[in-house]
Parts: sequence; C-alpha cells; structure tokens
Amino acid sequence: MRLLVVEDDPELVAYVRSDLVKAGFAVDVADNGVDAEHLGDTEPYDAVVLDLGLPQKPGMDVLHAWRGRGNRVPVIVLTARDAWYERVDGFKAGADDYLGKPFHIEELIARIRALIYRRHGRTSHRIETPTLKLDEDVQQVEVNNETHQLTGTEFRLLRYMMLNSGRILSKTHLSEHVYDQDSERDSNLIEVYIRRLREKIGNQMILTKRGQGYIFNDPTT
Amino acid sequence: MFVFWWTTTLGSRLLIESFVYRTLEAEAKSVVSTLELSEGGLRLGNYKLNPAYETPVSGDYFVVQQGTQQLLSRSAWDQFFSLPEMVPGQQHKSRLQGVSGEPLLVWSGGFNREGHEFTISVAKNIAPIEYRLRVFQWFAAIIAALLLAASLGVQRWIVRGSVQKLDAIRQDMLKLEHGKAVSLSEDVPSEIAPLVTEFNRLLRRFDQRLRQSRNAVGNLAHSLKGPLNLLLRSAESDEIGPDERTSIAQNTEAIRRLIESELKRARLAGRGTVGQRFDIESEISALIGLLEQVYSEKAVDIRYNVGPEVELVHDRQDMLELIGNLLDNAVKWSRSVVLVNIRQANGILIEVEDDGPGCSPEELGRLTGRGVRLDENVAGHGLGLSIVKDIIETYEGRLDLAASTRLSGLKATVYLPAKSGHQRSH
Repeated sequence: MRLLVVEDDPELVAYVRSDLVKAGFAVDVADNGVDAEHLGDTEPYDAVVLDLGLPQKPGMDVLHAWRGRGNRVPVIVLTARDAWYERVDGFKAGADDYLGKPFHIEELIARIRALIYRRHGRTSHRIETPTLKLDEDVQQVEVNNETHQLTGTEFRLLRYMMLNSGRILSKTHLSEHVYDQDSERDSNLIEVYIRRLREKIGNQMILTKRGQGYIFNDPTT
Repeated sequence: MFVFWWTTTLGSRLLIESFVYRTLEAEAKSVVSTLELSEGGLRLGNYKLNPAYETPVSGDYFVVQQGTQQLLSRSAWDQFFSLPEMVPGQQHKSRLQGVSGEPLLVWSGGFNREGHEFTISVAKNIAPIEYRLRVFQWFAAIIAALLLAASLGVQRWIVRGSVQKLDAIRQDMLKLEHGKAVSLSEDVPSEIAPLVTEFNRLLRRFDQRLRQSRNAVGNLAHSLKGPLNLLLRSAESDEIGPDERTSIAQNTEAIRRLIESELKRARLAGRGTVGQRFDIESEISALIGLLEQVYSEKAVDIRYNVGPEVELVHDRQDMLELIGNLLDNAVKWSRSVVLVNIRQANGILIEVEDDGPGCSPEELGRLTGRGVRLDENVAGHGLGLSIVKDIIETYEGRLDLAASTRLSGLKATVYLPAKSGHQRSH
C-alpha cells in the first residue's frame, strides 16, 4: 500500500511517516499544495492523507482539483479544528474521511486501513483466506496454523496481492504500490520477493502469468 | 431663488405687455369708429376720443395711414413714425423708441372701410409702467434673497438641533467608556434610533462574549491544575516506571481533551451574528451524506425533513456544529433509523430521533442538567452534547431530551428563538 502524506509541519511529518512505514506502508510526502496535486495526479496512491492548511495551495482546492479531473484516490482530510462545518466542506469537496488534529497515530492507521478496505469492497477488518491469515499489527502470516514473520517488503507485497486477489498484477504495478518514490525500483526485485513469499506461503498461492504478471489466488476458495 | 426671481420678472413683463397690446387694439378700433370718409380721403370726425390724444407728447399716439397720407393724433406733435403698411385683417405688434428715447409699444392693424384700405398704428409710452415693473422686480429680488437667507437659517437650525442630539449620544459613549453606563439611552430621534438599538445589541453581545471567555479561561485554568499536579508528581518520582508512564500519558490526554473542548467553545459565534443566510437543505443533505460515509459499516437510514419557510439566519458554523453533533450522537446510538425534522415555529425547532437503546429517566435528567460534565471518556459523545448545550445557551434556546414516541430511542428537541432585537429586514 502506497500513501501520500501532505502536511507542511516537518516535525509532525517525520513521526507520522516513520510510524506509517513501520505499519507497513510505502510513504511519499509533499509539504505544499502544488506538489501534492501533481503527485496525486501522476502516482498510483492507495490513499492520501491531506492536511487542509497548506502553503501555495489550500488542501481543499487540491482535493477539488483532483475530483474535478476524475481522480478518485481515497482521501483522509486532516482538519486542525475538527469542526463540523469543515467536515461538511470537505465532504462537498469529495473527502472520504476526516481526522481532527491532534490525533493518535493508531487512529490514523486504523482510518487508513478502513478506507482502503472499503475501497476494495471489504467490510471485514481482517485480511484472510481459508489457508492464510495476515496479521497487520505484527506483520506475520499464518499458514495452516504455522506463523511466519514477514519483512517489510514481503508484508507490503503480500497484503497488496491479497487485497487484489484474482487480479493479474504486473511487476511494474506491484513495485509502484510497494515502494515509495525514492526507492530504487527494480522490477526484478519483485521476482525475488515473490520467490521468498512462495517459500513461506506455498507455491500454489501465487501464480505466474508469463509476460503479464502474477495472480494471488487461494486454490481452496 | 434665482429661478423664482427670474420667472416672476419675465412673467410680469409678458403679462403687462399683453395687457397693453390689448388696450392698444381697443383704442385702434375706437379711432376707426371716429374716422370720416370724404372725397379727399380720410378725416377725423368730431367724436370725443381719449383726451390723451389731444395733449401733446402725452405718451399716447395714433397714426392713420393711407398710401402717403398720414393722419396723426395731436399728441404726436411732429414726430414722424415710419410704420409698415398692413393689408386689412393683418396685425403687427412692435416695440419702438420715441424721439426722446422713451420706449413705445406699437399695435398696427390693417382695416378696410367702404373700399378704403388704411393702416392704424396706436402707440403708448410704457416708460412709467417699466419703472413700476423695475420697482416690482427689485422687490421680488429682495423677497427672494430674504427667503433664501431664512431657509438657510432654518436648515442650519435643524441640523444643529439633530447634531446636538448626537452630542448626547457622544456623551453617553464617553460615560460608557468610563464605565458609568452600560448602554446608550434609546431616547433619541427616530432617524437614529435603529442605529442606537443596534449598537446596544452589539454591546450586550460583546458583554456576553466577554463573560463567556472569562468563564472559559477560568474553567480551563482551574481544570488544568489537577492533571498538571499529577504530572508534576509523576515527574518528580525518582524512577519513572510503568505506573508513572501511564499516569503521564493519562494526564496529558486529559489536558489535551480539556484544551480541545474549550477551543470548541471559544469558536462559537453566538446569536446575532450578521445574517449570513445559508441553504439549510443542501447543508443538511451534505451533513447526512458525510455521516453515512463515516458510519458506512452501520448502514443507518437517515431521513430528514425541512419544513417550508425554514430560514436559518444564524451562524452557519454554529448551526452545523449543533446539528452535526446531535446527528452524530443519534447515528452512533441508533440501530438502523434516524429521523431529522427541522421546522419553523416562531423560531426554529430541530428534532433528532433515533431507534437506539434510549436513556432511563434518571439519565435524561442528568444529561439535561445544567453544568453537568457528561462522560467525556466516550470519545465524541460527552463533548458533543456539551458543545450542543453551549451553542443552545449562546442562542438563548432550549434543549429537551425525551424518549422518542415514534422510534424506541432518544429524541432530542432543540428550540432556537427568532432573532431578538429587531426583526430581520429584507
């Protein structure tokens, strides 16, 4: 899952970013409205955390511009005052959720997860198939009552594939959702991580479509 | 004033001239009646004419002209008049100068009597009349000037009178500044009465605000002391163990929540904010859309009804905060249905009902009690309702909580009176 965090307070950004990365997200940061608008339009984010008070272009205008161009990326608006009129204005501009400052980082993570699940048409807050159970908090996967610890990249890759199970995902597509902007994106690395995942969860869960990409599919469903 | 003088002057001159021409025409006809016709031509008969025609240089003259023959009145003496010849029925009015420069008005007309065509001109010296006219014009000018001076004086007097009344208001304001009065006297001319009333209303509002913010600051300072004390004690302990850490976290959280709630309170605009009207229908539907989004997992059916002629002239932010909190509470507790009803009732009535578990009578009493701090540990719940109460208090409204008769849960009824002071002006 790749996120864009738009916030101009460097201190807040620093700890929000590190906590989000720890929670298994690839995070890009923009500290002004203009950069944010551009990034949101060009990169395939899974969700955006958008502050309203931004230099150069207000958050509400950025959101308006995205929605005006048909960009439906899920957006959580951070409001400084958590007042209802701000939420109503945000709703009118096309926001998907709201969080008043100051907030607990756990609350933000829960909201981001809920929003992403909602976007993938899930109501349950658990990512699981008959054979696999993914524990997001400790980044472990349980396969037939056997627990495996996952590395950060493995976790991000597996979660993205489980949320998009049944879809063909190309290596480029996967790397765009698993790595942030600043990481070295080598699609061969995806092959390496797919191989490691297969070692942990079994070969039959991830199928290779030659020349197209990979499909996550639990054969027991 | 000049226009007045000019029209009277011109009007009287035209009136007099037309009057003189009319008498001249009558004189000409009487001259015609005395004319006798003979072989040689025309001759004046012996009938009595106006004696002025017999007195030399009297100012009244006539000339009868037929071809080269001229019959002059005796008064004309040796004056020679060069006058146009008229065909019968033709008339001419003119202004000439006599030998000694006196102004003459001349009426000429063509006549035909038994085949003899002749022209009669009758003239009158109007110097005496003009003199009187000039006297009259001067008189009119003086009257006009006097009137002008008088009206200016009256105007000045009126303006000074009103300004003096304003002066009283200024004095009142000075008293206000020195704390000797709490409002302006409303015993003022009706023209400025609305201004003074509005000013007094503002004064009351600012006074209310001031008291509110004083209370708020006091409350905040007082309620911060407790957690700060505990924090201090935890910090002073020699070793900060898990207990101290929990205490620090809890107290910091308590302080954060206190600040949050006071900040919310401080944001209330209060009643009487300049009538910023807003489209209640669209705001409510956006609000409901927002709640459906936030509580999307619950799938609550929120139905609303906005009565006709509902016009919220109160502050938009306050109203959204009020309705938003009520609705949020209702949705949070409801099982599947929330009803919202807003209508006009000599003010505004907002009803929010839910089908949740509701409250026991004791709880209801406790919830509506004044100054009761609701359970602020349930995020949003307590704070929301206390904000609602604060808003209602600022708008001098009323909050009723009761069991819903239509649904099983709670029914919150908010009444906000119409704006006090004066009526809304359109």
